[in-house]
Amino acid sequence: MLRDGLATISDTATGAPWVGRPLERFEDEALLRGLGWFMDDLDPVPHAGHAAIVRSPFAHARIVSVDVSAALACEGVLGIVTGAQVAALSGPFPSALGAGIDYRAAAHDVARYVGEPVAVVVARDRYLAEDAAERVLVDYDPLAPAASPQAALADGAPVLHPALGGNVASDRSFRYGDPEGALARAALIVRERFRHPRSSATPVECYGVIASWDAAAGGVTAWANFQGPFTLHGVAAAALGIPGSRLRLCTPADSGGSYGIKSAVYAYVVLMAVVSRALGIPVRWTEDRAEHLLASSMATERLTGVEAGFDADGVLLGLRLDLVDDVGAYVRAPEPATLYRMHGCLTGAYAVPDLAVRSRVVVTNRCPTGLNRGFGGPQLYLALERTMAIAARRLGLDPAELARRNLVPASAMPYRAAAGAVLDSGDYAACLESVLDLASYPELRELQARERAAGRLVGIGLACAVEPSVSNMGYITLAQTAAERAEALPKSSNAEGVAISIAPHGGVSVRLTTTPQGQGHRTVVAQVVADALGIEPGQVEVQVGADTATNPWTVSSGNYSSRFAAVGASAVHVAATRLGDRLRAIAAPLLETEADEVELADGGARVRGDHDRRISLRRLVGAAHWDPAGLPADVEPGLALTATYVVPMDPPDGDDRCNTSATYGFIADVCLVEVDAGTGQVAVRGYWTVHDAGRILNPLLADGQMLGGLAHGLGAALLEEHRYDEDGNLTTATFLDYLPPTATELPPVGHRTIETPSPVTALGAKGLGEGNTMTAPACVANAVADALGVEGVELPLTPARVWELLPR
Amino acid sequence: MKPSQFDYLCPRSIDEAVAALAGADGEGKAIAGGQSLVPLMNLRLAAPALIVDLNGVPGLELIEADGGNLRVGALVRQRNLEQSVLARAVVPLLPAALRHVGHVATRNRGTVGGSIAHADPAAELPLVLATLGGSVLVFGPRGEREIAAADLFLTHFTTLLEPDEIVCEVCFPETGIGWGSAFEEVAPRHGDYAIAMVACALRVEGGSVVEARIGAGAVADVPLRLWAAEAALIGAPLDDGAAREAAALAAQAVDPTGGTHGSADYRRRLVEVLLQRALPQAFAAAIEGSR
Amino acid sequence: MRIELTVNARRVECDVEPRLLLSDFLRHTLGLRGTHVGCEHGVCGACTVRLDGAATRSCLMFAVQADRRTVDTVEGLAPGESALTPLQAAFREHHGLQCGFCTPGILMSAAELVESGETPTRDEIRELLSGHLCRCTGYVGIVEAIAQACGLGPEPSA
Repeated sequence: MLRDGLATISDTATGAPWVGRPLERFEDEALLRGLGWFMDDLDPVPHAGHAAIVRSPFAHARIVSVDVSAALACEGVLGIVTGAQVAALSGPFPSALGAGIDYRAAAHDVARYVGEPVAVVVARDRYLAEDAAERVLVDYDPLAPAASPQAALADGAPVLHPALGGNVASDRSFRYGDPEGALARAALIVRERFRHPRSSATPVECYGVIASWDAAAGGVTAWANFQGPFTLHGVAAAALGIPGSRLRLCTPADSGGSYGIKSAVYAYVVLMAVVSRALGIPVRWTEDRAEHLLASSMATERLTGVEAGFDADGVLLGLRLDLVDDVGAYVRAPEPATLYRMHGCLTGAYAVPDLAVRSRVVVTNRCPTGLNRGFGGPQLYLALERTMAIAARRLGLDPAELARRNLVPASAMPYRAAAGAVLDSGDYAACLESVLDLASYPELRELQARERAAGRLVGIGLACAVEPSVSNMGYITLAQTAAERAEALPKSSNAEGVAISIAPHGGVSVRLTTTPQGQGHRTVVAQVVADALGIEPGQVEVQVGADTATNPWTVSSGNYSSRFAAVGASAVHVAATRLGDRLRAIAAPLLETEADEVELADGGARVRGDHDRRISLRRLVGAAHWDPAGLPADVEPGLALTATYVVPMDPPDGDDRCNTSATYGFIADVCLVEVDAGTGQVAVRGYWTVHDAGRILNPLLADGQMLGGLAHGLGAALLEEHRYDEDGNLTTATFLDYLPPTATELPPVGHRTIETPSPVTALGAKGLGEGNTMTAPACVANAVADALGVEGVELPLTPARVWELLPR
Repeated sequence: MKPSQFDYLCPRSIDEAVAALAGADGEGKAIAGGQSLVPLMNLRLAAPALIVDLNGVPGLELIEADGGNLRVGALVRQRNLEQSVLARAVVPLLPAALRHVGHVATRNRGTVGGSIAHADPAAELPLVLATLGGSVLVFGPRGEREIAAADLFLTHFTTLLEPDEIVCEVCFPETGIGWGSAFEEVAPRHGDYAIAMVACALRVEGGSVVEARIGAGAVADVPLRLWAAEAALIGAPLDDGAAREAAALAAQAVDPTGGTHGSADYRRRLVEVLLQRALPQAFAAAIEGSR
Repeated sequence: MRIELTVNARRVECDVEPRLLLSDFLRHTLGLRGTHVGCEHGVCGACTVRLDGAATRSCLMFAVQADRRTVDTVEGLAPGESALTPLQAAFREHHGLQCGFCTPGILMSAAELVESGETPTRDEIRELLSGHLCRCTGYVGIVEAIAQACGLGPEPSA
C-alpha cells in the first residue's frame, strides 16, 4: 500500500514498473550449474603458495619461542613467517578503542585466544603446509585466562592488556530525559538480568584470501570474500603501513554467505599480505571449518541488566539499561559497533522518553567479535521483549495489550526516540493487529487453554521490534565523549557510489560496491535500471565484484546493516535517472521537442502523449558514440557517469543523541510452542510474522531474506551457542557441537508484508533481512516462559535446559 | 583440514586385508565407509600410517536370514539395510534405528560393520546389536571367531577386536512373527548423535510378554542391556503400570555422566521417559502383528 | 597411484596421492569447481556428489577410492549449454538458493531422490535436507523446489 503522493520511480516510463515484481534471479543460472566464482575458485596470480596457520592452543599464554627449523625442512615448504616477523612488518590495527591494546594480525609476545595466529607456513599445497605446520615448535608459558565477561570483570581478574589497566576497554553512561523520575513514579518496576550467548551465523563458505605483495610498488593486491564496511579497508592499510591507494582489494563475484561474519576477514588480508611480502611470493589461504569456528568472528556475548518502570496501566515510563559486551581478546574494528549500532533505538518500538544507559566493552580471552546478522538487535530485544513479557505477566495483561499501550503511534511519525533514533515511518499498531490476525491470536489463546487443561505445556510468545537499517557512520563515535568528539573530525551518514555506462554496442553496465552474498543485487539493480531507462532487466550487466582501484566506492560501501535496498538500490536509481536525463537531452532535438517531454520506454525514447514519434535506444547510443559533434552543446559527452548517493545523518550531538540508522522498519512476531513434559524438547508449532520494510523492490527476494533471517534467529533461540570452558577452550569447535538448524528443525511460517515507504530513501525502501534474527530469540523465549509459567529462561532453549525448568 | 600422509592398500581378498593389517604393527586401520574415520583423519585426530581399504574385498555384502539370525555382511551400506525388505520383516528395529543414523548421504556410504567396529556409545547400530544380544563374526590372522555383543564393546570407541582383525558379518537375532519393536531417541537435531536412546523388542504370546530385549544408549561408554527391566515384564501383559515399573528399573540401572547436552539426572530421566513411550509401542506392535 | 574413473560421463585417468580427498581432486585436479567444501567432516553436505548414483560426501572419500567408479557432480546435471533440468529450474522458480554455495550438494541429493521415482511427502523431503546446511534460505524455497520436481502439488496453506 503506497502512500498517496509518493512519486513512483517510473514516472518517466509507462507500463508496469519492474521494481516491485517477484522477478526470478539472473544469478541463478550460473549458481545452479556449479559455475559460480567463489573465493577458492579464483586463481588470479600464478605460483601462489598455500598457507596453513599455526594457532595458539592456549587462551592466554606468553609466547616464549617459535622454532621453525624442523618445519622448514618439510617437503614442499616455501617459507614460514612468525608472529615476530609480522609485528616487524606491520603495525597494530587502529580501532575506536585501540589505546592500550596492541592488536596484530598474528601474536608475537602474548597469545590471547585459542586459535590466535602465531605463525604462517606456506607450501606448494595445503596438505604439505599442514604437515609442516605440525612441525613448528612453539614454547608457550600459559597465563591464567579471563574466559568469560564475568571472569574478566571480577576483582583480581587476569588482565589481557596491561596498558589498559583492566579488562574494561570502555565504560560510558548516557542519560536522556529524567529516568530516575520516571522510575520513581512507576507502579511496577521489572528488574531482571539477561544473557545473550555468543553465536555465529556460520556461512557455509569460510574465509578466503589471496595476497600478492608488489615489492616494486610497495603495496599489495588482495582478493578476499570481504563484505565491508569499507572503513575496514583503511584499517587494513594502516596496519600494513601503506597508503590506502596501495592496498588494492578485490572481492569475487560470488560469496558463499556472510551475514556480517566476513567483515573480519580483513585481519587475515593483512596477515597474508605481510606473509606475501616477507616471502616474496603470492600467498593464498582458504580457511577450513575448524579455523572458522575457532578464530574468524562471532556475535558478542551480551549481559544486560534492565530496570523498567511501568504505571498501573502498563505504560512503560522509563528504562535503565546496563549493557556489557564481551568483544573477545581485542577490540577489533569496527567494535564496539555491536554495542552502539542500536543505541539510538534502545527503547525499541515503544514511546519511552526517559532512558539511562551504561555501556561497557569488556575484553576476554576469546575470539574477537564483529558483525553478525542482527548486530546488536538480538541482544537488545531479548532483554527488552522478555521484560515486556514479564511485565505483562505481573500486571495480568495479555502481552499484545501491553504492546498496544506502548507502541509509538503512527501519528507520531517521524518519531525522535530518547537516544536519538528518528523512526521515519510506519504504523506499528496496524502491523501488530495484522500479525494477531494472521496468527488467529484469540483462537490461539483458546487452544492454549484447552490443551493446558489436558496437561500439555503450550505457550504463546510475542515480540515487537524496530528494525534499523543503513548505519550512520558516525554512531561509532558514541564510544567517545562529546568533548573527545569535538577534538576529532566528525563522521556521519551512509553513502554509496555507482558507475553506470552504455557501451558503443548498446549494452548497459553498472558497477557498484555492495558485495552481495546471495541477496540478489544483480537482479534488483537490473530492475531499477530497467525502470529508469525504459529497457528490460535482461539488458543490464551488473558487476558486483568489488575492486578498490576501479569501483566508485565509499567508506560505507559493503553489505551490512541491510543497506542495499535503502542505499545501494537508491544510488543505482539516482545514477540511472541521471543517465536517463542525458539520453532524453540527446533525444529531444532528434524528436523535435523539449527534453522534459521525452520519456524512456520500450527500449527507446518517445514523445509523451505522441508515441509514434520515437527513436530507439540503439540510435541514441550510436549518436552519442559515433557522432559526438552532432550532440547538443549543453549535453555532457559520453554515456558514462558516476553518482554518489548519500543518506545524510548527523554525528552524535553534544547530548549524545544520535540517529544511529537511516531508516527503521517494524516487525511483529507471534509463535506457538509446546514443551515435551518428559524430555524438555521445544516444538515450535507455528510462527507468524508481519513486516513493514517500506517499499519492497522484489517480493520473491524479500521473502527469502525474511525466512533466512528467521532461521538464524530460531537457531540462536533453540540450538546455537558458542561455548567456552573456564580455560578459554572453545567446546563448540566442529559442526558436531555447534548446531545450526536444518530443515527438520524449522517450523511452518505464516508471513505478511506491509509497505509504508520510507521518506528518507530515494526508492522508499528500508532494509530487510535482519529483523527476525532480532525478534525470534525473544519470541520463542517468551513462548517457552509462557508454556512453563516461569520468568527465567536461558538461551539456547535446548531440551536439557528446558527440562531443568519443568515442575518435578 | 587435510589428513596426514599414509600408505594405501586396496586388497582383493579378506586374507590379503588381514595380512596387511597384521604387517602394519598396529599402525594400520581398515576403512569401509569412512564416515567416522575420515573426519578424524581430516582433523588429524587420527593418523594411521597404513589404510587398508575393504571396499574391494568380495563377499561381505550379503543380507540373509537363516531362521535364527539376520546375517548382515560388514560392507553392507547402512542405506541398503535401511531399505531392505527382509530386514524390515525380521528385525524391524533396524530400519527404525537407521532412520536416525546420520543422513542419507552418510548412510549411502557408511557400513554396518564399520559402525559396529567404531563403537561410538552414541551410535544406534551398536545399541540395536547389544539390545538383541547379537554377535559379530570376525576374521584375523588367527582365523575366524564369533564375539557376542555383550563381550564386544569394552568402552567408548573400543571393541575386543585386535588391530589386525576385521568384522566380516554382523548377526542380529530375528524378532519377526510374534515380536514387536520400538526405538526412541532424543537428539539435538534429526540425525545427530543421541543424547539418550532406547531400543526394545517384546515377544508376546497369549497377550503376555514372554521375552523382552531392552537397551539404552548414549548413557554410558557402551550400549547397555537392561536385564532388570526385561525381567520385570515377563509373564504379564504390558499395561501402563508395568511399563512405568520397567522404565523406572531401567533408570535406576543406568549411571550416566553429565555433559554438554545434559546433566546426569537429565539423561537418566530420558531413559525412563523414552522407555515409558517405547514399551507400549512395542507391545502394541506385537499384538498387531499377531492378528 | 594411478586411477581411472568416469566423471560426468567422461573417462578420466590420473595419478594421485592416496590422501588426496575426492573433493579436492574434483575441484583442483579436474577443475570442476561446482562441488564446494564447507566443513571437511561430513556434516554440512556442500560437497555431496553421486558415486555410482548414490549421494556421497566427497570430503569423506579419498580420490583413490573412486578408482573404476562413476562420479557425477553438479556440472553434469545440465552439461554445456543444455537447458537446466526441471529440478534446477524449480530451484530458480521457488528462490531455493541465495548465495548458492550449498546448492550443488543439495541438487545432487535431490537428483537421487527425483530419479528414484518415489513420491515423498514434504516431511520426507525435509528429512533428506537435514543432511544439508543452508544458512541463507530457511529451506522453504528448497523444499518447494524439490517437491515440485518430485511431482507434488503446491503446499496447501496452513
